[in-house]
Amino acid sequence: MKKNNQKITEDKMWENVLDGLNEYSYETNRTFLTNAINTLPVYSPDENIWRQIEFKLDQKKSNYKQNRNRIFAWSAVAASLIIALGIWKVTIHNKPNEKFTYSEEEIAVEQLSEASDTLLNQFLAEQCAALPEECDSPRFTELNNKYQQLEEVQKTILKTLSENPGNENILASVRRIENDKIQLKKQLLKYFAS
Amino acid sequence: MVVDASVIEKKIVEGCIANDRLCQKELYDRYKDAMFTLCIRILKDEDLAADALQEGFIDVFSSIKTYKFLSTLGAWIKIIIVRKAILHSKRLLLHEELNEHHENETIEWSESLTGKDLAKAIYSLPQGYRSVFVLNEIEGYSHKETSDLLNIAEGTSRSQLHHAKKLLQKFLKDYRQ
Amino acid sequence: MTIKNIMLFLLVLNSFESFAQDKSKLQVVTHEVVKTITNKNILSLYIDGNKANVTIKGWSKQETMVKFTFIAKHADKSVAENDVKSFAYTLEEAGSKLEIGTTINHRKKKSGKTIMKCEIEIFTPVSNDIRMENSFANITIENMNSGLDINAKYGTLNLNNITGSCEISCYYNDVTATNINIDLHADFQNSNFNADGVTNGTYSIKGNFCNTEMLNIESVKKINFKIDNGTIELQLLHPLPYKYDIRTQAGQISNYLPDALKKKAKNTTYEFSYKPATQTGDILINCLYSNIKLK
Repeated sequence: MKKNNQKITEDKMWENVLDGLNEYSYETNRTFLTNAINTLPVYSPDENIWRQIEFKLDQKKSNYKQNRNRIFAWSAVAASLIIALGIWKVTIHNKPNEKFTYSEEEIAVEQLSEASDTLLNQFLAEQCAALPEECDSPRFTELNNKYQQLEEVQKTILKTLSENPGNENILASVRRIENDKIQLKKQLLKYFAS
Repeated sequence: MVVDASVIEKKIVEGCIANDRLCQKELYDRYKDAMFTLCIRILKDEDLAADALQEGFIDVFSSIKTYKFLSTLGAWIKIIIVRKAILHSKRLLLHEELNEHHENETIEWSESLTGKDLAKAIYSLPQGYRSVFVLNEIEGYSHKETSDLLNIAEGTSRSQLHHAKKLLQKFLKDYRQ
Repeated sequence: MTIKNIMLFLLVLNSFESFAQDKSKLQVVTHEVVKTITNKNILSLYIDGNKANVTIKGWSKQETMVKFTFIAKHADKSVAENDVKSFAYTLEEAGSKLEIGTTINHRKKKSGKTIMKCEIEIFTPVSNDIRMENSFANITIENMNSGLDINAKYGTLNLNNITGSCEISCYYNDVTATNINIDLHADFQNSNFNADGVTNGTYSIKGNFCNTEMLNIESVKKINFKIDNGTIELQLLHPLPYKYDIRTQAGQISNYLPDALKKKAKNTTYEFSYKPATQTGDILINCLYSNIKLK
């Protein structure tokens, strides 16, 4: 009896192992198909299809407008009657291509104050008085002129920014000019580095 | 800044409801390839697929007001396009009422099976088998959903799928030889 | 470090102090207007962007669709709602020309603090010429095969899939271009030019304080650069049998061209020239202080 029970348990175990193997082989087999499905080719429709969709949508819109106009015509008759009775005034809105939407944003508004370059100009004037040959070189003159020009440009842009607060593109320009000014400053100051 | 995709889809849907052409185009561009591919897989024919896609999207735009964000937008559009493709295939569709059960019979797929080979094999299938295989195996619809979409019995869907797989296997075997 | 050097260091640093940030919650009101111009006689667009970001896309339809998006942001919703209405747009047909523009009527605005933003999206036939003036804006032009005339300041210009002729004048306005075959005449002042995927065309660029990069050049008819301060980098996909004449007075020339082209070349730090027996194009670069790299 005990032996029989043991046999049954062994058979059951073996059955489980076979089931497990079958399941494993089913899953593996399934993966081959899934992999192939995932790499099936994808097709793109011709551009012309969208144009036809648009055309049909336009047609629908104009039919809708015609129907709406008919409704408006009857509304007008009804409205005149109502006005005649001195009860209501009817206003018809017709702005199908416009819409307003509302949302909320938390924004970091950057505030810029005009940068002062008095210190740099003062320093350059002093150094140029001591080393005129450096300041008279065409390259130094070109860089210095460029620097002064950028200073003027930056002033104008800051004025534009005050009229258009928070404009990201204007802020980006101010930042970029500031960076260019720093590069120019470095090049100018190199002439006097000891 | 990362914008949640569902927020963008919501905006697109709102635009489509307001008949905003750019939003309609955006929605079309987002799903056109997937939907056109689905139509081709069901219909095999590019012209028929183009017709189904076109009519399907007109239905999408006309009924987008009824979309309540209960499923993904893609799933909602897919149902409309599938219905349209099936409608186009109706003339070609001939479902035999097969109810034999073959589910325990495993069909062996080769490890080297590629998407390109499988596509060729799918297009060799008869219309009915192909629709069931595409909807069930590729698009992930259940037999119940597939049978509802194709207006056939659930048992037919099961046996059609089995026959489809057997035919695919035969095609692939012959193709390799 | 000497006192003078410390002073120099401080002088470079001082400009960073001017930036500060405030965080605030703003109500955003967006007004969208879509207009379609079906007049098939329209052959060119004139766009006065006036700080509006502009996107132009070529399409195969014979009509032009314009979408204006006006945005006003203010802490008070009623102010934002009022101020968004101070935007006005122009959409005027003048013969074969369509004029598109936006303005802000400042008298209608309730607050000077309202953040105002405007975007214009245009779909137009691929062959329509485009003339645009804009500042403080990002401009994108895609899929056009026509004549472009762009004058842009303090922003960016992106060109994608463009063929035809391009006159571009930029000041502090970087230009990126992908997949182009154009006849370009450009003046880039403090503006960088990055092109990737050049299939053909002629490229004539003069500029100052400008970095120019043209990568993946399949073919060109002519390159003629005169850029005084900056860098120039050209990447040829394969050795092209062109006449190369490249000079810089105070910059560097790095030449990675294959040996076949180097052999006859007079290759010094400042000058590189090569004239093959048969030539199908010219690359002429003449600069003052620019570094030039050919690969």
